[in-house]
Amino acid sequence: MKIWIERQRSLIDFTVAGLLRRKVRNLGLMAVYSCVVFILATVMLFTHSLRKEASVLLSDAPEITVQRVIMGRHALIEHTDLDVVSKIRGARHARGRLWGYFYDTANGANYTLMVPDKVHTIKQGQVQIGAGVARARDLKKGKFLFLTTNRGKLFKLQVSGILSTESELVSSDLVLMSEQDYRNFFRLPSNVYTDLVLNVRNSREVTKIAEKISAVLPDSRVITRDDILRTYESLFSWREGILLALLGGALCSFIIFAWDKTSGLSASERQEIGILKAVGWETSDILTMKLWESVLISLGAFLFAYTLAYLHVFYFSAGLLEPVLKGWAILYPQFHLTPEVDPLQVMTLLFFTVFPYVAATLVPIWRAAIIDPDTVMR
Amino acid sequence: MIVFENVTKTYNEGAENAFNAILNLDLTINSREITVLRGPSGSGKTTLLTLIGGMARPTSGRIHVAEREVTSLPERFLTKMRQDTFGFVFQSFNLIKGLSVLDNVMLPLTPLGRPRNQIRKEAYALLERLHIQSKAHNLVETLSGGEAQRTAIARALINNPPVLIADEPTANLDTGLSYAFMDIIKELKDQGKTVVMTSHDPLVWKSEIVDQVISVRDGKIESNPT
Amino acid sequence: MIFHPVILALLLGSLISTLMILIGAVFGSQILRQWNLSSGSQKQLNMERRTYLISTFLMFALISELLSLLLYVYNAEQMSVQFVGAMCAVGTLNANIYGFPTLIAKIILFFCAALWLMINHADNQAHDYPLIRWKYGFLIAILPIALSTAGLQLSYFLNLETDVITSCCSKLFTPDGDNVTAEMAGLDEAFALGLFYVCLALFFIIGLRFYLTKHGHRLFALASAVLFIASITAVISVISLYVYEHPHHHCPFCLLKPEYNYIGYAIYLPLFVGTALGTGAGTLASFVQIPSLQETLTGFVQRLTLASLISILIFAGIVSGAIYLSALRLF
Repeated sequence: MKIWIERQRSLIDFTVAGLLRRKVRNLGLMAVYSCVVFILATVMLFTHSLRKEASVLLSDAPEITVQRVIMGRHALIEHTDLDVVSKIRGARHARGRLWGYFYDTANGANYTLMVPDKVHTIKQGQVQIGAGVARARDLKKGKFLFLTTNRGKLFKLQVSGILSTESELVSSDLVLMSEQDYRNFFRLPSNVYTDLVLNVRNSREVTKIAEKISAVLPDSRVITRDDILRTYESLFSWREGILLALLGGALCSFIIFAWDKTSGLSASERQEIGILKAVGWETSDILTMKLWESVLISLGAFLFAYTLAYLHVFYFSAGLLEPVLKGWAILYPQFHLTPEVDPLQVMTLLFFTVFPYVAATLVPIWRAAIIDPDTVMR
Repeated sequence: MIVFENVTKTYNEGAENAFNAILNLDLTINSREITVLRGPSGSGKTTLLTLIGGMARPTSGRIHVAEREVTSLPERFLTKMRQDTFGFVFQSFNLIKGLSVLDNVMLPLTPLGRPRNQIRKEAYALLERLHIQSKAHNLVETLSGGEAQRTAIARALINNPPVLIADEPTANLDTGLSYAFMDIIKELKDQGKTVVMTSHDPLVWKSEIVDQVISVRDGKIESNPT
Repeated sequence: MIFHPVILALLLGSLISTLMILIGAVFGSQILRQWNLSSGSQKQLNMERRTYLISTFLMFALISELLSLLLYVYNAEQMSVQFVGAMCAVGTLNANIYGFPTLIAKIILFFCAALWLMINHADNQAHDYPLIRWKYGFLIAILPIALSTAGLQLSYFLNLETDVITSCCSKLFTPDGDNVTAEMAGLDEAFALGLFYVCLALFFIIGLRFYLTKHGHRLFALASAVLFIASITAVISVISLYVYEHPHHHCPFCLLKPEYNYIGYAIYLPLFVGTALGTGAGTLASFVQIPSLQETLTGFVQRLTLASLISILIFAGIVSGAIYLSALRLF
C-alpha cells in the first residue's frame, strides 16, 4: 500500500512537471474545458436554486386551491361556494383570494395586483409594491402610485411600503392593496373571489378532501400544493434538460477535440514516452501517468469552472443566462439566490464532463503507452 | 551470461516490406566482460542490442538471461527483468528536455514507488562519482556533449544493473571525451559489470579493455571480419 | 421520458461503460481463439498490448458502475417529489416495472466487474497469463449482464411518466404485500435479526477458518454471497426499524437520507466492499494450485480475505451500534 501511494505520488509529480513543460497547450485545453463546464454548471446551479426557491416559497402556500371553471376558462368564484367548502370536514381556514393582472400602459409592464391575507392588512388608499414596480415607476415609500383603470378612471394610492428584496423573484411585480380598493379598481361585486384556498388539518387527507370538493363543486378545478410543486419540478428539470441536451452538442465537439489532442501526440511527447519506456517504464506506468494527466486536467478545469459558475450564479445573479432561463419580463427581478450546492448535481456534472473526457482519452493514452521501448533506438 | 539460440527478428511481419533484421543467430555474452558489436549501419547490430537488452522480443528463437528464458515473458515481467538487469546509454543520450539532470537520472526509479529522498540521494552519489554533481540542478539542454553522456550513464546506473548497454557511445563525442568514456567503462568493468556496446569507432573496439568483438553483417555474425 | 440532467448523465455513463465491456468481450473472443503465449508473432504482441486497454476499460467501467449505482439511488430519492404517492427512492423506482430490476442488475454488474478486476490482478502476477482464457471467458459472460443492465435502465427511464401514481416505501415494504420485498419486510423481526447474526457468525467462522487454514474457499465465497442477501433482508426487515426508531418503516433507501446522518452509506459501503472481496477471495483461491500463481496468489487471497473480514466486521459494528443506540426496543 505504501509503495502504491509512493508510486502514485511520483507519477503525479512527474505528470505535473510534464504539464508545466507544455504550458501553452495544456492551458488552452483547460480553458476550452473550463468554458464547457462553466456553462453547464451555471445552468444547473441556476435552475436548481430556482427550483429550491420555488419549493421553499410553496411550502407555506395553502394545500388546496379551488378555481371555478366556465367554458374551460378560469372564472370568478362566488361566496356561496366558499361556504360550501368551509363545511367540508377536515378543511381549515377556507378563504377567498383576490388577485389578478394589470397591464400598465404607462411602461408596458404587467403587474400582479393582489389583496394580502388577513394577517397583513393594508389600509384603504395605500399600497405595498414590489421592488420591480418601484424601480419602473421610480417610487419611494410615501409617494403616490397612480393607476388608470380600464375605464379610464385614475386611482391614486399611497405607497406604504416596498416589499423586501429577498423575495424579489416572486414579489418584483407585486402590488398589494386593500380589498375595497381592489374591488373598486376592477369593479368587482362584493360576493366574488378570484379563487378559494384552504388548509387541511391532516396532510394525509389532502387528496381525499380534494376529491370531496370536486364532488360538491363540479364546475371547479381543484389544485393541490403537491400538484404545483410537481409541475414546477418537472418544468425546471425539463428546461434544464433541454439546455443540457443542447449544450451536449458543445460537449461532444469538446470531447472530439480532447480525443484529437490526446491522440495527436506531438513528436516530442512520443519521444518522451519512448525514452521512459526505454529506461524501464512499463506500459501500465505510462498508462497510469497519462491517466493522471487526464484526471488532473479535467478535475482541475472542473473545480475551477464550477467555482466560477458558483460565483456567477450566486454573487453575480447569473447575468449571462437570466434571459434564457427565466423568460423575459420588463420588471426584471434583481435578486440573489441562496447559495446551495447539491451533491447529486455535482456528481451529475462530473458524469457529464470529467467522465466522458477521461473515457475519450483512454484509447489515445493506451496507444501512446504501447510505443515499443526500442523506438528511441531505431 | 546472456545466450541467444537461433534468434530471428523480423520487422513488419506479414507485410510486403517485411525484412529480417536478425536471422537465425546464436550468441553468448559472458558476464564481467566487455563485448562490442561492430558492423556497418543497417547491419542489424542495434536490433541485436535491443534484443540483448530485452527491449524488443525476438520473432522466433530463445534468449536466456542469467539462465532464465525471457522470450515468452509477458511485458510487465520483461520490463521488471530489464529494470533489474540492464542500464542503457543511448546514442543520442535521450535525456528528457525541460527536466533537470537530477530528475533525468532518477527517471528509471520514478514508477517503482521507492521513497524519493532515497532515490535522490543515490542519484546524487552517482553524479558525484561521474563528476557532474555541480550540474545536478541544471536543465539537460544546457549540458555539453560530455556532460550529457555522463548524465545518461548515471541514469543507466541508477538501478545498479549488472549489465550496461551502450549504443554507439562515442558517436557524438570528440576524441578526448571518447577516451574519457572508455575510462569510465574500464572502471565499471573493474567493479564487475558486464558491458555490451555497439560501435564502429576503432577507438572503442580496438581498445585493450574489450574482451569480445562481434562483427555483424546482414543480421548475421561474420566469422572472419576484416 | 423525463428530460432530467441526472437521467441523461446516467444514460451517458451506462452507454460508455457498456461499450467498453462490449469491446472487451469482442476482444475476449479473439483471445479465446488465438492466444498463444509462446509465439513471438506481431499478432500475439498486439493481443498482449490490448489486454492493458481492456483492464483499463474494466477499471473504468467498475468505477462508473459504482458511481452510477449511487447516482441512480440518489436520483430516485430526489425525483420522488415528482411522483404522486412517492415519498422516497422506492416510489420512484416503483414508478414502472423496470426500476427495481435495474437496481438489482446494477448491483450484480458491480460485483462482476469487481470480481473480474481481482482475477485480472491475480493473473498479472504470474509469468504465463494462467487465467487469461478464464478471465476473458468471464468477461464474455459479463457482457449480457452489462447489456441487460443498460437495457433495463433505458427502459426504466423511457417509461418513466410523472402522472403515474406510484407507491412509497411504506406500501412496498409492508408485510401484507405478496412480493419478495414484502416477504422480507414481513419476516418476524426477532427471527430476521437472529438469522442475520447467525449468518454473520457463520461468515466469521468460515472466514477465519479459511484465513488460518486456507481450506474451504468455495464455502467462503458462498458465505459472502449469502451474508450479503441476509444482510439486505435484515436491513429491510429489522435494522431499518431501529434506525428510523419507528416500528413500521422498512425502507432500505431512507437510510441514505441526511435525516439519519447518512448512516446508509456507512452500512452499505463496507457491506458491498466486504462481499466483493469475500467472493473474490473465495473464487481466486480455486486457482492457487496453478504453479505459476501459487506463490503470489496465496498472499493475495490472504489479504483479500482479511480485508473482507475487516469490512464485514465494520459493517457488523455499525449495524450493531445502530441497534444498540436506537431508542426503539422491539423485544
